[in-house]
Amino acid sequence: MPLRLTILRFDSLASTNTEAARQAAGGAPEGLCVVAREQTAGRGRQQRVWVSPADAGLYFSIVLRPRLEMKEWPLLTLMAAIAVADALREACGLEVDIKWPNDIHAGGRKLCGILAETVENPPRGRACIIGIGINLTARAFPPELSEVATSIEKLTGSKPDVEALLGALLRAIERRYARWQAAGGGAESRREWSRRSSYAEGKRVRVALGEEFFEGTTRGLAGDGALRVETNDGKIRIVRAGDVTALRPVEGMNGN
Amino acid sequence: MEELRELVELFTSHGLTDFELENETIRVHLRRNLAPQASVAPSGLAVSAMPSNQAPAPPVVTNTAGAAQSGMPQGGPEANPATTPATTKPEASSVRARTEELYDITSPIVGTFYRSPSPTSEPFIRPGSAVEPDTVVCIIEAMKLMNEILAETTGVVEKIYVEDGQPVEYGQPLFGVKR
Repeated sequence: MPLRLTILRFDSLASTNTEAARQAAGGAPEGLCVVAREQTAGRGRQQRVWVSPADAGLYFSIVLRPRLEMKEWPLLTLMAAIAVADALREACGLEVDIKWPNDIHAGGRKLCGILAETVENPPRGRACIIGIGINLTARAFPPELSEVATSIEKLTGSKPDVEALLGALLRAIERRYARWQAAGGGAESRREWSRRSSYAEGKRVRVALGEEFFEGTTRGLAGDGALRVETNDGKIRIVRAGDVTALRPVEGMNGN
Repeated sequence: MEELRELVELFTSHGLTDFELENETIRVHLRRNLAPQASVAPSGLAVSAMPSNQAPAPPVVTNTAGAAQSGMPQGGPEANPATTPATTKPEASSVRARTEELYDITSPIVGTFYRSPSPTSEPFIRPGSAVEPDTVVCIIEAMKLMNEILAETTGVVEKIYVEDGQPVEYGQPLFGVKR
């Protein structure tokens, strides 16, 4: 069944994810989207701040209620990254890289972050909220991040048409979500992710898991989207959390 | 539970490795595993059995006071003799008896266990916290998907089986709740 998309638009919100979670708690069906021109308390993982000045980024969240078992859900965050890559290609002509599991990079710098959360509200059941923040212009991030962040404007030389980008994003999410839930959808999502990400195979990475660090070479995805990393002593470690960074700077990803 | 928490804090702050307290209604045994040495209880003493999990640095709290463990002494010394704890249970049955009376909140997913919404914020719950079915007890992260886990029962948190930031398996017990 296709998603029935409904968009709630706000001039200003604390956080689109918080608003979407509130809507989900009130029983909002899947397909409900929240878009804000600015966020006053935009957040990333573990309550990190996502700077969100007015009209400098696309600040978007969607409520999903997957039919699949919850242990399959982590692939949703990889699916969301593929959908963003689709939309950036369609609306802006950009080719991007996906840094495991779901950061969108271009030219080695971060262009988009995804914050996915699940919330449970008995008796409505569990909902997944996927928040997507795309930097439209350099105003979207503080100057001190200019070495690690980028924007569509910086990459293409012009400020993107935000409505065209939003439209492309909605179509891409609809398509990728339907495929993920179809038979064999998990394997297809993993294949597609691996095709789009330079992190999937043979990349030298450093993994930070809390206090622990190790280095290795990536060896594809496990069934649930975890990253398989071969350590220097030949063992395979399955990474489901923590930060994975490239050991050498990524270059030329725009031209692949 | 409040007293128990104070006890654990004193235990930790004074760097103790082993501590026992017993009265009519409750028996507490705190032990910290500093080194992998087997600390065998002296045979003459009635020492509670340790659960054989591998919890590292923080003190392990074992409370073996059978049915009367829900409260600290309230009724005075005339507590019902039927509820006084059996002091010399073999380890296995003691552990089983303990888990049987607690409701375990388990992980619905493979991932990493977080007790608080961010590294600098307060834990969602602590030992002694009262929970209701819709109380958020922790977050399990997998592939940057942050899953809020609910208590799904009413009671008081007695055990936290997993340390913050540790990986958990599907179905693994996270908390023990006294209902």
